[in-house]
Amino acid sequence: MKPNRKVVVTGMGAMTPFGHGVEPLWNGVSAGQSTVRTIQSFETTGMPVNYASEMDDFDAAELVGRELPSTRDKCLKMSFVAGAAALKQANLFDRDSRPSDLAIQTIVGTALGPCYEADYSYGCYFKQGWKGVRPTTVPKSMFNSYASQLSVEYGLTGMNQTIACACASGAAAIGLAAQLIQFGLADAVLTGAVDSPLCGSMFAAWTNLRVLARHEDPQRAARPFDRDRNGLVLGEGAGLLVLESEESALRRGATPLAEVRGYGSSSDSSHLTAPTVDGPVRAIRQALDQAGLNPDDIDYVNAHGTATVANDENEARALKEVFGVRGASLPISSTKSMLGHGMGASSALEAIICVEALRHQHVPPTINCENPDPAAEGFDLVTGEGRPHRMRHALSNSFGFGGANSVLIVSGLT
Amino acid sequence: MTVPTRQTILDQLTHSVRKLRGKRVETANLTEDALLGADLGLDSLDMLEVRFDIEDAWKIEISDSEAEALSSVRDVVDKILAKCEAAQPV
Repeated sequence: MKPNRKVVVTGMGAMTPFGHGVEPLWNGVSAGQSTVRTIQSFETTGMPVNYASEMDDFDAAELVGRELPSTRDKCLKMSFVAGAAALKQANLFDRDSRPSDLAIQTIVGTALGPCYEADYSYGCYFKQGWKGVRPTTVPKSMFNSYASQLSVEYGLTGMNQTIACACASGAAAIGLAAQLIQFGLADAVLTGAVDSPLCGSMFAAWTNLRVLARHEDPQRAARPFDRDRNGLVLGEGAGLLVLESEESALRRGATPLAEVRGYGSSSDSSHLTAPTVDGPVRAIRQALDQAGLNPDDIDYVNAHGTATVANDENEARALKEVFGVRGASLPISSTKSMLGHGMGASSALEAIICVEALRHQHVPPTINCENPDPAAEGFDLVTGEGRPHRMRHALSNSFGFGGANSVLIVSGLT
Repeated sequence: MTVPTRQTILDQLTHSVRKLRGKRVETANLTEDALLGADLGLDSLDMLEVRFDIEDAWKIEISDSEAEALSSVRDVVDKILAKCEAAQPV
């Protein structure tokens, strides 16, 4: 059975430290601005790293313009706002305006799930014993709580599922959603990802994993592909998209923004944290194959680019193996240099950034890459400032702990 | 702990319900006459959370059978008062 339906994006919503929506996200990354700041939401006294790409708290109900369940969980609030924005842009938010036979599916990725709820309830347990743990800890700390709450609140009656494959979760959710549509198993899907590692216990674990970047100037700490990089900066966010068959979009009069053309996925089958070159190479080639494209057709690569020593060297080697000498004229950038690493949410936000890059014909930069690593020689690394660039096809790499590799190809419509 | 007034208990319940349901429950409607389900929209999961707050605030225990018999805010206030009075030293 060959996939034969074209998949288009008809709505997007983003919550990032740049602000509420896709527009502030695109304005920020295209201008090469950093969002890294001293952490304000929990105590970091005495910790060796006290900064992240963190957003201010906000009132989700006010932003969405309707009542929503009361919650302390920032990820749930981000999901509500980004999901509503995507559905509104697709003209699917108002249930009365939806075609009666259109069952919208919900496929949401998350790497860490509701770790805030787990952090809070474990704290209650260790302070107060079993009587201190609230009964709703169970439904609120389930990994599928975000997809489920979106389905409940916005009346999404198709399948309601959660994809967890670490930092590739968003790209995997989007890729699987696209495949469902391509094969005729779905018409419209709300998909993407949400994550925040910015709660005390999770941030402590990342600190002790010793992969967090250290720099006297927090805004210069995230340095993907730089020779002197020394780790990642954590971030948080939500990126949700409405994917739809072109046929459905046109029938409803919705405006397609871009096409999700290819998806490749592989497992390193090697190690929980150490990456391989072979795994990413297979995922990139599979995405190209599924899209019916050659390496020469790709006009921009949004790299996974975490700025860990291992990832960037490994990713550069994988890109060299696939793109060869083409890399010299292929713009590559890591937007994590500005947004930090928001786990699974990053991979969804990077898909949105690819859509915007295609729409604006502008490549966002990698900031803080002052001395490119020798491993990345032979690539057009778009350092410092972004630039206009004619492009039709953008490829987005996302690799997760556990050896999960997900690669999306997003294409313009002109 | 001294026996609370009915108003103090109502204030605690109002805080608990507002924390739970945000703007979905008009807490001005949280009078003693209000029915927990029909008027305040509290379902069984919500009631577990409200019960959790009650037990924590007043250091009492409400059994499953006692909880099942509560249908109005007045029932809840009466139950809390009775439990608090019973817990007073003779």
